[in-house]
Amino acid sequence: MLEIKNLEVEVEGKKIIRGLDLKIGKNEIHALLGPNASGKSTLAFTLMGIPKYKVVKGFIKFEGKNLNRLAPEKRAKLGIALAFQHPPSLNGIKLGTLLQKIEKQKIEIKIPRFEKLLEREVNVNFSGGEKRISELIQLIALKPKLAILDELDSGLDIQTLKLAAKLIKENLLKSGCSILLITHTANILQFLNPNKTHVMLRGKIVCSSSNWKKVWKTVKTHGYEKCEKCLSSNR
Amino acid sequence: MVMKNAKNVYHQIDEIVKILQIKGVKVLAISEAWEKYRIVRKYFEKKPKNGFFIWVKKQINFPISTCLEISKEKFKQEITNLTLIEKGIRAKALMICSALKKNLKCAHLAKGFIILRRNSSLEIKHFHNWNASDQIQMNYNFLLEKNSSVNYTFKSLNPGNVEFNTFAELKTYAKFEKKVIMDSKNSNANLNSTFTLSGKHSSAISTLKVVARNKSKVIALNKLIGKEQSRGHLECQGLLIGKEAKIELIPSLIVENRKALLTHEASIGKISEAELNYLRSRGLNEREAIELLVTGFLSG
Repeated sequence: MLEIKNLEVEVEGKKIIRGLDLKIGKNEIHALLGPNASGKSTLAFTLMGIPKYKVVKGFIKFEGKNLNRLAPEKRAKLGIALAFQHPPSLNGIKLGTLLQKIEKQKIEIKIPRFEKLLEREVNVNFSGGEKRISELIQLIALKPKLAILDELDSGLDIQTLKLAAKLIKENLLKSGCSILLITHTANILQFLNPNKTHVMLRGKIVCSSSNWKKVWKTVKTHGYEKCEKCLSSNR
Repeated sequence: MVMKNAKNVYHQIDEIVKILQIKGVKVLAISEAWEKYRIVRKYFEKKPKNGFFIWVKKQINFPISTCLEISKEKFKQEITNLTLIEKGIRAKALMICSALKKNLKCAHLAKGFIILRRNSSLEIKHFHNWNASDQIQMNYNFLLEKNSSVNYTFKSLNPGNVEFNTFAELKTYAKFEKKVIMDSKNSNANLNSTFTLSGKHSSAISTLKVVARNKSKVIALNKLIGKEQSRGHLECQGLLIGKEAKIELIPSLIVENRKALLTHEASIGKISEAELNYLRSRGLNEREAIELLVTGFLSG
Protein backbone atom coordinates (compact mmCIF):
# COMPACT_ATOMS: atom_id res chain seq x y z
CA MET A 1 0.00 0.00 0.00
CA LEU A 2 2.70 2.50 1.03
CA GLU A 3 6.21 2.28 -0.29
CA ILE A 4 8.93 4.76 0.63
CA LYS A 5 12.29 4.36 -1.05
CA ASN A 6 15.54 6.16 -0.27
CA LEU A 7 13.64 9.25 0.87
CA GLU A 8 15.46 12.48 1.57
CA VAL A 9 13.53 15.48 2.83
CA GLU A 10 14.57 19.07 3.42
CA VAL A 11 12.81 21.66 5.53
CA GLU A 12 13.80 25.25 4.81
CA GLY A 13 17.08 24.08 3.32
CA LYS A 14 17.97 21.70 6.16
CA LYS A 15 18.04 17.99 5.47
CA ILE A 16 15.99 16.13 8.06
CA ILE A 17 15.27 12.74 6.47
CA ARG A 18 18.31 11.04 5.06
CA GLY A 19 17.60 7.95 3.02
CA LEU A 20 14.51 6.37 4.56
CA ASP A 21 12.92 3.13 3.37
CA LEU A 22 9.55 1.86 4.60
CA LYS A 23 6.80 -0.43 3.36
CA ILE A 24 3.36 -0.72 4.91
CA GLY A 25 0.83 -3.29 3.72
CA LYS A 26 -2.96 -3.16 3.81
CA ASN A 27 -4.49 -3.24 7.29
CA GLU A 28 -1.06 -3.40 8.94
CA ILE A 29 -0.08 -1.42 12.00
CA HIS A 30 3.44 -0.02 11.96
CA ALA A 31 4.93 1.77 14.93
CA LEU A 32 7.65 4.35 14.43
CA LEU A 33 9.71 5.01 17.53
CA GLY A 34 12.42 7.56 17.91
CA PRO A 35 13.75 10.30 20.15
CA ASN A 36 12.82 13.95 19.76
CA ALA A 37 14.10 15.54 16.54
CA SER A 38 14.79 12.21 14.87
CA GLY A 39 12.52 13.16 11.95
CA LYS A 40 9.30 11.28 12.83
CA SER A 41 6.97 14.25 12.49
CA THR A 42 8.84 15.40 9.38
CA LEU A 43 8.02 12.03 7.83
CA ALA A 44 4.36 12.46 8.82
CA PHE A 45 4.13 15.95 7.26
CA THR A 46 5.99 14.77 4.17
CA LEU A 47 3.58 11.87 3.70
CA MET A 48 0.70 14.34 3.99
CA GLY A 49 2.32 16.68 1.44
CA ILE A 50 2.64 19.78 3.63
CA PRO A 51 4.38 22.22 1.25
CA LYS A 52 7.44 23.24 3.27
CA TYR A 53 8.61 19.60 3.50
CA LYS A 54 10.49 19.10 0.24
CA VAL A 55 11.34 15.67 -1.12
CA VAL A 56 14.80 16.08 -2.61
CA LYS A 57 15.52 12.43 -3.31
CA GLY A 58 13.71 9.10 -3.46
CA PHE A 59 9.95 8.56 -3.72
CA ILE A 60 6.76 7.87 -1.83
CA LYS A 61 4.28 5.58 -3.56
CA PHE A 62 0.76 5.00 -2.34
CA GLU A 63 -1.15 2.19 -4.01
CA GLY A 64 1.43 2.40 -6.80
CA LYS A 65 0.98 6.15 -7.37
CA ASN A 66 3.94 8.46 -6.86
CA LEU A 67 2.95 11.14 -4.35
CA ASN A 68 5.98 13.38 -4.62
CA ARG A 69 4.21 16.28 -6.35
CA LEU A 70 0.72 15.77 -5.01
CA ALA A 71 -1.03 18.48 -2.92
CA PRO A 72 -2.26 17.59 0.60
CA GLU A 73 -5.94 17.66 -0.40
CA LYS A 74 -5.26 15.23 -3.26
CA ARG A 75 -3.46 12.87 -0.89
CA ALA A 76 -6.44 13.14 1.47
CA LYS A 77 -8.74 12.19 -1.41
CA LEU A 78 -6.52 9.19 -2.17
CA GLY A 79 -7.01 8.02 1.41
CA ILE A 80 -4.11 9.36 3.45
CA ALA A 81 -4.95 11.10 6.70
CA LEU A 82 -2.82 12.61 9.43
CA ALA A 83 -3.67 13.13 13.08
CA PHE A 84 -1.55 16.17 13.99
CA GLN A 85 0.55 16.22 17.12
CA HIS A 86 0.01 19.98 17.46
CA PRO A 87 -3.14 20.81 15.51
CA PRO A 88 -3.78 24.56 15.05
CA SER A 89 -6.75 26.32 16.65
CA LEU A 90 -9.43 27.32 14.17
CA ASN A 91 -11.24 30.30 15.61
CA GLY A 92 -14.89 30.57 14.68
CA ILE A 93 -15.06 27.09 13.11
CA LYS A 94 -16.94 24.48 15.08
CA LEU A 95 -15.76 20.89 14.93
CA GLY A 96 -19.26 19.88 13.80
CA THR A 97 -19.06 22.36 10.88
CA LEU A 98 -15.63 21.08 9.87
CA LEU A 99 -16.84 17.48 9.96
CA GLN A 100 -19.76 18.36 7.67
CA LYS A 101 -17.27 19.78 5.16
CA ILE A 102 -14.84 16.89 5.21
CA GLU A 103 -16.73 13.74 6.05
CA LYS A 104 -16.83 10.93 3.57
CA GLN A 105 -18.90 8.93 6.00
CA LYS A 106 -21.49 10.10 8.48
CA ILE A 107 -20.09 9.39 11.86
CA GLU A 108 -22.14 8.77 14.91
CA ILE A 109 -19.73 8.28 17.72
CA LYS A 110 -21.06 8.69 21.20
CA ILE A 111 -17.99 9.27 23.31
CA PRO A 112 -18.47 9.78 27.01
CA ARG A 113 -16.85 13.03 28.25
CA PHE A 114 -16.45 14.32 24.69
CA GLU A 115 -20.10 14.74 23.60
CA LYS A 116 -19.95 18.52 23.39
CA LEU A 117 -16.76 18.64 21.35
CA LEU A 118 -18.68 19.06 18.08
CA GLU A 119 -20.21 22.33 19.26
CA ARG A 120 -16.84 23.85 20.14
CA GLU A 121 -14.40 25.73 17.91
CA VAL A 122 -11.76 23.34 16.60
CA ASN A 123 -8.87 23.05 19.06
CA VAL A 124 -9.73 26.36 20.75
CA ASN A 125 -9.00 25.82 24.45
CA PHE A 126 -9.08 22.05 23.90
CA SER A 127 -7.26 19.99 26.49
CA GLY A 128 -4.56 17.56 25.29
CA GLY A 129 -7.05 14.68 25.43
CA GLU A 130 -9.74 16.64 23.59
CA LYS A 131 -7.27 17.48 20.82
CA ARG A 132 -6.38 13.81 20.36
CA ILE A 133 -9.99 12.69 20.29
CA SER A 134 -10.90 15.52 17.92
CA GLU A 135 -8.10 14.43 15.57
CA LEU A 136 -9.33 10.85 15.68
CA ILE A 137 -12.95 11.85 15.00
CA GLN A 138 -11.81 13.83 11.96
CA LEU A 139 -9.75 10.91 10.70
CA ILE A 140 -12.63 8.52 11.10
CA ALA A 141 -14.86 10.93 9.15
CA LEU A 142 -12.29 10.94 6.32
CA LYS A 143 -12.48 7.14 6.04
CA PRO A 144 -8.77 6.80 5.23
CA LYS A 145 -6.84 3.87 3.82
CA LEU A 146 -3.71 4.98 5.67
CA ALA A 147 -3.91 6.84 8.98
CA ILE A 148 -0.77 8.48 10.31
CA LEU A 149 -1.08 9.11 14.03
CA ASP A 150 1.60 11.53 15.17
CA GLU A 151 2.28 11.19 18.91
CA LEU A 152 -1.35 10.40 19.55
CA ASP A 153 -0.45 8.90 22.92
CA SER A 154 1.74 11.64 24.32
CA GLY A 155 0.28 13.23 27.43
CA LEU A 156 -2.84 11.08 27.50
CA ASP A 157 -4.21 9.60 30.71
CA ILE A 158 -4.80 5.86 30.70
CA GLN A 159 -8.56 6.19 30.30
CA THR A 160 -8.31 8.44 27.22
CA LEU A 161 -5.52 6.25 25.84
CA LYS A 162 -7.80 3.20 26.06
CA LEU A 163 -10.59 5.19 24.43
CA ALA A 164 -8.29 6.29 21.59
CA ALA A 165 -7.19 2.67 21.01
CA LYS A 166 -10.82 1.54 20.99
CA LEU A 167 -11.75 4.19 18.42
CA ILE A 168 -8.81 3.15 16.23
CA LYS A 169 -9.71 -0.53 16.39
CA GLU A 170 -13.44 -0.14 15.86
CA ASN A 171 -13.45 2.65 13.31
CA LEU A 172 -10.19 2.45 11.39
CA LEU A 173 -8.77 -1.07 11.59
CA LYS A 174 -12.12 -2.78 11.13
CA SER A 175 -12.58 -1.06 7.80
CA GLY A 176 -9.17 -2.23 6.55
CA CYS A 177 -7.20 0.93 7.25
CA SER A 178 -3.43 0.74 7.68
CA ILE A 179 -1.88 2.65 10.57
CA LEU A 180 1.46 4.37 11.03
CA LEU A 181 1.78 5.04 14.74
CA ILE A 182 4.41 7.63 15.55
CA THR A 183 5.36 7.63 19.20
CA HIS A 184 8.25 8.24 21.49
CA THR A 185 6.55 6.90 24.61
CA ALA A 186 5.18 3.66 23.11
CA ASN A 187 2.24 3.95 25.52
CA ILE A 188 -0.35 3.06 22.91
CA LEU A 189 1.47 -0.02 21.57
CA GLN A 190 0.21 -2.28 24.38
CA PHE A 191 -3.34 -1.68 23.14
CA LEU A 192 -2.70 -1.95 19.42
CA ASN A 193 0.10 -4.52 19.14
CA PRO A 194 1.81 -3.40 15.90
CA ASN A 195 2.79 -5.80 13.14
CA LYS A 196 6.10 -4.06 12.82
CA THR A 197 8.06 -1.56 14.90
CA HIS A 198 10.70 0.73 13.46
CA VAL A 199 13.25 2.90 15.20
CA MET A 200 14.20 6.19 13.61
CA LEU A 201 17.42 7.99 14.35
CA ARG A 202 18.87 11.04 12.62
CA GLY A 203 16.41 10.85 9.73
CA LYS A 204 16.76 7.13 9.01
CA ILE A 205 15.11 3.92 10.07
CA VAL A 206 17.89 2.07 11.86
CA CYS A 207 15.97 -0.93 13.14
CA SER A 208 12.78 -2.79 12.26
CA SER A 209 11.31 -5.63 14.24
CA SER A 210 8.09 -7.58 14.52
CA ASN A 211 8.50 -7.68 18.29
CA TRP A 212 7.67 -4.24 19.65
CA LYS A 213 8.19 -5.30 23.27
CA LYS A 214 11.76 -6.34 22.56
CA VAL A 215 12.51 -3.05 20.79
CA TRP A 216 10.95 -1.02 23.56
CA LYS A 217 12.85 -2.96 26.22
CA THR A 218 16.11 -2.19 24.44
CA VAL A 219 15.19 1.48 24.16
CA LYS A 220 14.19 1.73 27.80
CA THR A 221 17.29 -0.10 29.00
CA HIS A 222 19.97 1.27 26.70
CA GLY A 223 18.46 4.23 24.88
CA TYR A 224 17.67 4.68 21.18
CA GLU A 225 21.34 4.70 20.16
CA LYS A 226 21.58 1.01 21.04
CA CYS A 227 19.06 0.17 18.30
CA GLU A 228 21.53 1.37 15.69
CA LYS A 229 24.24 -0.91 17.01
CA CYS A 230 22.17 -4.07 17.36
CA LEU A 231 20.69 -3.63 13.91
CA SER A 232 21.02 -7.21 12.81
CA SER A 233 20.13 -8.98 16.08
CA ASN A 234 16.83 -7.09 16.50
CA ARG A 235 15.40 -7.90 13.12
CA MET B 1 -27.78 37.17 12.47
CA VAL B 2 -31.35 36.01 11.81
CA MET B 3 -34.38 37.87 13.10
CA LYS B 4 -37.49 35.74 12.92
CA ASN B 5 -41.02 37.00 12.25
CA ALA B 6 -39.91 40.50 11.28
CA LYS B 7 -42.64 42.75 9.79
CA ASN B 8 -41.49 44.74 6.82
CA VAL B 9 -42.78 48.27 7.44
CA TYR B 10 -40.87 50.06 4.68
CA HIS B 11 -39.85 48.58 1.33
CA GLN B 12 -38.34 50.67 -1.41
CA ILE B 13 -37.21 49.32 -4.77
CA ASP B 14 -35.56 52.08 -6.76
CA GLU B 15 -38.05 54.96 -6.17
CA ILE B 16 -41.15 52.82 -5.54
CA VAL B 17 -42.19 52.70 -1.91
CA LYS B 18 -44.48 50.37 0.01
CA ILE B 19 -45.37 51.18 3.59
CA LEU B 20 -47.02 48.88 6.09
CA GLN B 21 -48.74 50.37 9.12
CA ILE B 22 -48.73 48.28 12.23
CA LYS B 23 -50.16 48.89 15.65
CA GLY B 24 -47.83 50.78 17.94
CA VAL B 25 -45.51 51.96 15.15
CA LYS B 26 -45.94 55.08 13.03
CA VAL B 27 -44.37 54.70 9.59
CA LEU B 28 -44.41 57.57 7.12
CA ALA B 29 -42.48 58.75 4.10
CA ILE B 30 -39.91 61.17 5.47
CA SER B 31 -41.24 64.05 3.34
CA GLU B 32 -44.73 63.64 4.79
CA ALA B 33 -43.36 63.28 8.29
CA TRP B 34 -41.30 66.47 7.85
CA GLU B 35 -44.47 68.41 7.14
CA LYS B 36 -46.38 66.79 9.97
CA TYR B 37 -43.94 66.59 12.88
CA ARG B 38 -41.75 69.22 14.46
CA ILE B 39 -39.24 66.62 15.63
CA VAL B 40 -38.49 65.66 12.04
CA ARG B 41 -37.95 69.29 11.11
CA LYS B 42 -35.64 69.59 14.11
CA TYR B 43 -33.22 67.14 12.55
CA PHE B 44 -33.56 68.10 8.91
CA GLU B 45 -33.55 71.74 7.92
CA LYS B 46 -34.70 71.05 4.39
CA LYS B 47 -37.52 68.71 3.51
CA PRO B 48 -36.01 65.37 2.52
CA LYS B 49 -37.30 63.73 -0.63
CA ASN B 50 -36.98 60.01 0.01
CA GLY B 51 -36.71 57.79 3.01
CA PHE B 52 -38.70 56.87 6.06
CA PHE B 53 -39.76 58.05 9.47
CA ILE B 54 -40.32 55.20 11.89
CA TRP B 55 -41.66 56.04 15.29
CA VAL B 56 -41.97 53.14 17.69
CA LYS B 57 -44.45 54.47 20.18
CA LYS B 58 -45.62 51.35 21.95
CA GLN B 59 -44.05 48.06 22.89
CA ILE B 60 -44.17 45.55 20.05
CA ASN B 61 -43.29 41.89 20.35
CA PHE B 62 -41.81 41.36 16.88
CA PRO B 63 -38.92 42.90 14.96
CA ILE B 64 -39.63 45.52 12.32
CA SER B 65 -37.73 45.51 9.06
CA THR B 66 -36.85 47.95 6.31
CA CYS B 67 -35.70 47.00 2.86
CA LEU B 68 -33.97 49.30 0.40
CA GLU B 69 -33.20 47.80 -2.99
CA ILE B 70 -32.01 48.87 -6.40
CA SER B 71 -32.89 47.13 -9.63
CA LYS B 72 -32.13 49.80 -12.24
CA GLU B 73 -28.80 50.39 -13.87
CA LYS B 74 -26.97 53.53 -12.70
CA PHE B 75 -29.81 54.34 -10.32
CA LYS B 76 -28.99 56.74 -7.51
CA GLN B 77 -30.98 55.99 -4.40
CA GLU B 78 -30.85 58.86 -1.93
CA ILE B 79 -32.47 58.09 1.39
CA THR B 80 -32.96 60.16 4.52
CA ASN B 81 -34.28 58.33 7.56
CA LEU B 82 -35.34 59.06 11.08
CA THR B 83 -36.05 56.33 13.59
CA LEU B 84 -37.39 57.23 16.98
CA ILE B 85 -37.79 54.76 19.82
CA GLU B 86 -39.99 56.07 22.60
CA LYS B 87 -39.29 55.94 26.33
CA GLY B 88 -39.01 52.49 27.80
CA ILE B 89 -39.64 50.66 24.51
CA ARG B 90 -37.53 47.63 23.59
CA ALA B 91 -37.39 47.20 19.84
CA LYS B 92 -35.63 45.09 17.25
CA ALA B 93 -34.97 46.10 13.67
CA LEU B 94 -33.76 44.31 10.59
CA MET B 95 -32.36 46.51 7.82
CA ILE B 96 -31.56 45.16 4.38
CA CYS B 97 -29.97 47.19 1.59
CA SER B 98 -29.03 45.51 -1.66
CA ALA B 99 -28.60 45.54 -5.40
CA LEU B 100 -30.99 43.11 -7.03
CA LYS B 101 -28.75 42.48 -10.03
CA LYS B 102 -25.08 42.43 -10.86
CA ASN B 103 -23.24 45.25 -12.67
CA LEU B 104 -25.88 47.91 -12.02
CA LYS B 105 -23.23 50.54 -11.23
CA CYS B 106 -25.78 52.05 -8.89
CA ALA B 107 -25.44 54.34 -5.88
CA HIS B 108 -27.02 53.99 -2.47
CA LEU B 109 -26.70 57.13 -0.38
CA ALA B 110 -28.32 56.87 3.03
CA LYS B 111 -28.26 59.24 5.96
CA GLY B 112 -30.27 59.74 9.06
CA PHE B 113 -30.78 59.74 12.77
CA ILE B 114 -31.64 56.98 15.17
CA ILE B 115 -32.89 58.36 18.45
CA LEU B 116 -33.45 56.42 21.61
CA ARG B 117 -35.46 58.00 24.35
CA ARG B 118 -34.81 57.27 28.05
CA ASN B 119 -34.75 53.64 29.11
CA SER B 120 -35.35 52.35 25.59
CA SER B 121 -33.32 49.79 23.65
CA LEU B 122 -32.83 48.87 20.05
CA GLU B 123 -31.20 45.83 18.52
CA ILE B 124 -30.35 46.30 14.85
CA LYS B 125 -29.17 43.74 12.34
CA HIS B 126 -28.12 45.53 9.17
CA PHE B 127 -27.20 43.61 6.01
CA HIS B 128 -25.69 44.98 2.83
CA ASN B 129 -25.29 43.15 -0.45
CA TRP B 130 -23.80 45.09 -3.36
CA ASN B 131 -21.36 44.67 -6.21
CA ALA B 132 -17.85 46.00 -6.62
CA SER B 133 -19.09 48.58 -9.17
CA ASP B 134 -21.70 50.06 -6.77
CA GLN B 135 -21.13 53.20 -4.71
CA ILE B 136 -22.40 53.15 -1.16
CA GLN B 137 -22.41 56.02 1.27
CA MET B 138 -23.97 55.97 4.71
CA ASN B 139 -24.04 58.59 7.44
CA TYR B 140 -25.88 57.55 10.58
CA ASN B 141 -26.19 59.51 13.80
CA PHE B 142 -27.25 57.71 16.95
CA LEU B 143 -28.48 59.73 19.89
CA LEU B 144 -28.86 57.72 23.07
CA GLU B 145 -30.69 59.33 25.94
CA LYS B 146 -30.27 58.37 29.59
CA ASN B 147 -30.14 54.63 30.27
CA SER B 148 -30.90 53.63 26.68
CA SER B 149 -28.98 51.03 24.71
CA VAL B 150 -28.18 50.04 21.15
CA ASN B 151 -26.83 46.74 19.92
CA TYR B 152 -25.95 47.23 16.28
CA THR B 153 -24.52 44.61 13.94
CA PHE B 154 -23.65 45.50 10.39
CA LYS B 155 -22.72 42.68 8.05
CA SER B 156 -21.69 42.95 4.45
CA LEU B 157 -20.15 40.08 2.54
CA ASN B 158 -20.40 42.11 -0.69
CA PRO B 159 -19.93 45.73 0.34
CA GLY B 160 -19.27 47.53 -2.96
CA ASN B 161 -17.26 50.73 -2.68
CA VAL B 162 -18.43 51.97 0.64
CA GLU B 163 -18.07 54.96 2.88
CA PHE B 164 -19.74 54.30 6.19
CA ASN B 165 -19.80 57.00 8.86
CA THR B 166 -21.35 56.42 12.24
CA PHE B 167 -21.62 58.97 15.01
CA ALA B 168 -23.04 58.15 18.38
CA GLU B 169 -23.62 60.34 21.40
CA LEU B 170 -24.30 58.61 24.67
CA LYS B 171 -25.90 60.19 27.71
CA THR B 172 -25.83 58.93 31.32
CA TYR B 173 -25.82 55.14 31.63
CA ALA B 174 -26.36 54.73 27.89
CA LYS B 175 -24.72 51.72 26.23
CA PHE B 176 -23.68 51.08 22.66
CA GLU B 177 -22.39 47.81 21.25
CA LYS B 178 -21.42 47.93 17.63
CA LYS B 179 -20.08 45.15 15.46
CA VAL B 180 -19.08 45.58 11.83
CA ILE B 181 -18.34 42.49 9.77
CA MET B 182 -17.14 43.07 6.24
CA ASP B 183 -15.68 40.90 3.51
CA SER B 184 -14.29 43.23 0.90
CA LYS B 185 -13.75 41.14 -2.22
CA ASN B 186 -12.53 43.79 -4.61
CA SER B 187 -13.58 47.19 -3.42
CA ASN B 188 -12.65 50.19 -1.34
CA ALA B 189 -14.07 50.78 2.09
CA ASN B 190 -13.83 53.80 4.35
CA LEU B 191 -15.27 53.05 7.75
CA ASN B 192 -15.46 55.81 10.32
CA SER B 193 -17.01 55.61 13.75
CA THR B 194 -17.08 58.18 16.51
CA PHE B 195 -18.56 57.45 19.90
CA THR B 196 -18.89 60.40 22.23
CA LEU B 197 -19.35 59.29 25.80
CA SER B 198 -20.86 62.45 27.18
CA GLY B 199 -22.88 60.96 30.01
CA LYS B 200 -21.67 59.55 33.32
CA HIS B 201 -21.35 55.76 33.30
CA SER B 202 -22.00 55.55 29.59
CA SER B 203 -20.18 52.79 27.71
CA ALA B 204 -19.37 51.77 24.16
CA ILE B 205 -17.80 48.68 22.64
CA SER B 206 -16.98 48.72 18.97
CA THR B 207 -15.80 45.59 17.18
CA LEU B 208 -14.61 45.57 13.60
CA LYS B 209 -13.75 42.47 11.63
CA VAL B 210 -12.74 43.11 8.08
CA VAL B 211 -11.36 40.97 5.28
CA ALA B 212 -9.64 42.59 2.31
CA ARG B 213 -9.09 40.48 -0.79
CA ASN B 214 -7.61 41.05 -4.22
CA LYS B 215 -7.14 44.80 -4.73
CA SER B 216 -9.41 45.92 -1.89
CA LYS B 217 -8.40 48.88 0.20
CA VAL B 218 -9.95 49.26 3.63
CA ILE B 219 -9.41 52.17 5.96
CA ALA B 220 -11.13 52.12 9.33
CA LEU B 221 -10.99 54.97 11.79
CA ASN B 222 -12.63 54.23 15.11
CA LYS B 223 -12.73 57.00 17.65
CA LEU B 224 -13.82 57.04 21.28
CA ILE B 225 -14.20 60.30 23.14
CA GLY B 226 -14.56 60.09 26.91
CA LYS B 227 -16.07 63.35 28.11
CA GLU B 228 -17.36 61.95 31.38
CA GLN B 229 -16.68 59.06 33.72
CA SER B 230 -17.27 56.32 31.16
CA ARG B 231 -15.85 53.18 29.60
CA GLY B 232 -15.10 52.31 26.03
CA HIS B 233 -13.28 49.66 24.06
CA LEU B 234 -12.35 49.35 20.41
CA GLU B 235 -11.44 46.05 18.87
CA CYS B 236 -10.34 46.01 15.26
CA GLN B 237 -9.15 42.93 13.39
CA GLY B 238 -8.16 42.77 9.76
CA LEU B 239 -7.41 39.79 7.56
CA LEU B 240 -5.51 40.31 4.33
CA ILE B 241 -5.93 37.91 1.44
CA GLY B 242 -4.00 38.68 -1.69
CA LYS B 243 -0.80 40.57 -2.27
CA GLU B 244 -2.43 43.79 -3.44
CA ALA B 245 -5.00 44.19 -0.67
CA LYS B 246 -4.50 46.82 2.00
CA ILE B 247 -6.00 47.44 5.42
CA GLU B 248 -5.38 50.45 7.58
CA LEU B 249 -6.82 50.39 11.08
CA ILE B 250 -6.74 53.59 13.09
CA PRO B 251 -8.03 53.37 16.62
CA SER B 252 -8.29 56.73 18.32
CA LEU B 253 -8.88 57.37 22.02
CA ILE B 254 -9.56 60.84 23.33
CA VAL B 255 -9.93 61.27 27.05
CA GLU B 256 -11.35 64.52 28.38
CA ASN B 257 -12.20 63.25 31.83
CA ARG B 258 -9.73 61.54 34.15
CA LYS B 259 -12.33 58.98 35.15
CA ALA B 260 -12.91 57.80 31.60
CA LEU B 261 -11.36 54.42 30.81
CA LEU B 262 -10.82 53.81 27.12
CA THR B 263 -8.93 50.91 25.57
CA HIS B 264 -8.26 49.45 22.16
CA GLU B 265 -6.85 46.40 20.43
CA ALA B 266 -6.00 46.25 16.78
CA SER B 267 -4.39 43.59 14.63
CA ILE B 268 -3.98 42.79 10.96
CA GLY B 269 -2.88 39.39 9.80
CA LYS B 270 -2.90 37.01 6.92
CA ILE B 271 -4.22 33.48 6.61
CA SER B 272 -2.08 31.18 8.71
CA GLU B 273 -0.15 28.60 6.69
CA ALA B 274 -0.56 26.08 9.51
CA GLU B 275 -4.35 26.46 9.51
CA LEU B 276 -4.50 26.35 5.72
CA ASN B 277 -2.40 23.17 5.52
CA TYR B 278 -4.41 21.58 8.30
CA LEU B 279 -7.62 22.05 6.34
CA ARG B 280 -5.98 20.94 3.10
CA SER B 281 -4.90 17.76 4.86
CA ARG B 282 -8.61 17.23 5.53
CA GLY B 283 -9.33 17.23 1.81
CA LEU B 284 -10.37 20.86 1.29
CA ASN B 285 -8.67 22.57 -1.63
CA GLU B 286 -6.92 25.89 -1.06
CA ARG B 287 -9.94 28.00 -2.06
CA GLU B 288 -12.34 26.02 0.12
CA ALA B 289 -9.93 26.16 3.05
CA ILE B 290 -9.55 29.96 2.74
CA GLU B 291 -13.34 30.42 2.57
CA LEU B 292 -13.81 28.35 5.71
CA LEU B 293 -11.09 30.26 7.56
CA VAL B 294 -12.60 33.60 6.47
CA THR B 295 -16.04 32.47 7.66
CA GLY B 296 -14.47 31.49 10.97
CA PHE B 297 -12.62 34.80 11.26
CA LEU B 298 -15.75 36.84 10.61
CA SER B 299 -17.94 34.82 12.93
CA GLY B 300 -15.45 34.29 15.73
